[in-house]
Formats: sequence, structure tokens, C-alpha cells
Amino acid sequence: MVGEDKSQWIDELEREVFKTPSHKWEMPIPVHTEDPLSAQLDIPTRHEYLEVKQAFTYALIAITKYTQEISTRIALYPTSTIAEDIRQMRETIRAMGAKKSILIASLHDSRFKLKESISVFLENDGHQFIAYAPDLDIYGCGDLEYEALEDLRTSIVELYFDFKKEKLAPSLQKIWDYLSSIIEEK
Amino acid sequence: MGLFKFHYRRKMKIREAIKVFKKLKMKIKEGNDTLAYFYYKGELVVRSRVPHRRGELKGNLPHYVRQQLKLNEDQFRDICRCTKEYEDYLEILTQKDLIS
Repeated sequence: MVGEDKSQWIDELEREVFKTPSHKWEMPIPVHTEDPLSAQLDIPTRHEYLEVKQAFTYALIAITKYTQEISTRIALYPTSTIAEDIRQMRETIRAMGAKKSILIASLHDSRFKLKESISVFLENDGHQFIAYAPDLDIYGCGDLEYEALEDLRTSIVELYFDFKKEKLAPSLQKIWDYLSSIIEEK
Repeated sequence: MGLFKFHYRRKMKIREAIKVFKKLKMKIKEGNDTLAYFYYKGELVVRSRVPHRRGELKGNLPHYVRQQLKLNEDQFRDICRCTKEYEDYLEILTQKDLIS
């Protein structure tokens, strides 16, 4: 290691571990099919579950390679730096394995009826659950999945009343056009 | 700075977010959560929400707040540190074709 440029091997290792296309990592990619029962029940399909599982597997490979390299060069760095890296890796892996796509069919508000379901990404980032509706650029959060979804529903209702009374710029007008087309006031 | 350039998710204090809202001359509505509205030429251009009940914004929440403001992490930090002002924000929104 004497005389070796640290940044050079760091770059090499990063390239190897994190930038190599996944199909070159020699991992068998599981073959899976859509699960019609999951679709009927509006829960994540087996396909979605396996995608997350696959992402998690790759992350584990990455962390294994990373750890091996670290162990050979650990003497060069202070322990606190490595501890911080491991903490960040844990968060990254947790984030990779915790995001799922769902549909909400109700706002749980007696004043409104949804004509169409709203697409939502639900994730656990290690601190809380976050439910994000990309079509509306709005989110909700909570300690439990249910709380995050309820918070999102409340936010959507607030957004509806806000947009209804405002003069909107074109970018927000598009969101309002979509929102008003899927929500029906009772 | 760690050995590797992991995606660094910075915490955001609620008062930090509100400070940015005020610098951007946003209309602030306090309730269970803080709602902020940015108007330009009488039209609502940006709407953002900061939940109060969880105290400090951790994990990915700061990302969603910045996203609603149409700012990246550097731009948000620059506004917070006063190196970017209201006029710079207008320029950012203009570049993104959100205002003209």
C-alpha cells in the first residue's frame, strides 16, 4: 500500500462494486411470473417481491466485496470513518429493499369519492414510512405504513381544497386537471 | 467524508425549512403541518409541506421537501446559507420552465 494513491483504489473499487452492470456479477436472476391472486387482492405481486429481493441480493454482494476490500486496507483509515461508511451502507440497503408500489382506492373522507385509484410509492427509509404520490407530487409520513397512507390521504384532501381556490401556474394546473378528474365531491 | 461517495441523506431542521420558505417570500400557513405557497404574477407556482409531528426531518423526508420546492440539495443549502436569494430562485424556476 506504501506510495499508493488512496483515491485511485477507492475509485477502482467503486467502479467494480457499484458501477458494474448487475448481469456481470454472475448471480442467477430468479425467473418469476405475475401472480394473478396478488393482483386481485391489490397487494405487491410475487414479481415485485422478487425484484426487491433481487436488489437486496445484489446489495449484499456489494457489501461483501466492499467489506473484504476494507479489511485489507483498514489500517489506513480511522475507525470513525469506517463506522460512518457502514452506517450509510445500511441505510442505502434498507432503502433499496423497502420501496414498493401500491394503489389507494379511497381517501377515507366522506366528502370525496375516488373515480380512479392513485398510484403511491411506499418506502421505509429507516426513520419512518413515507407514502409518495408521484402524479400529485405529494407525500405523507408516519411510524407505520397505515399512518403514512392516512397522512397522504389527508394531504391529498388539503391539496384539493388549496388548488380549487387558487389561480395556478401551468405546472400545477396539470396536477389539478388530473386531481379534479379522479376525485368526485359527494 | 466517508471512503465512498454514498448518497448522503442530510437531516433537515423544521426551522431550517421555514427559514428557506421565508427567504423565498413564500406565504406560510401554520397548522398541524407547515404549508408554504410560492406565487409569481398572481399564480401559485410551488406548494410545499413540512410535517411537524416528527420534529426534525430525517431519512428521505428532506428529499421530498426539496423536490416540492424544485431545488436540489446544493441549491437548498445555498439558499439556507444566504448565498442564493429570491432572485436566484426565480432564475432556477425560469430555467425549469415553471415560470416565464
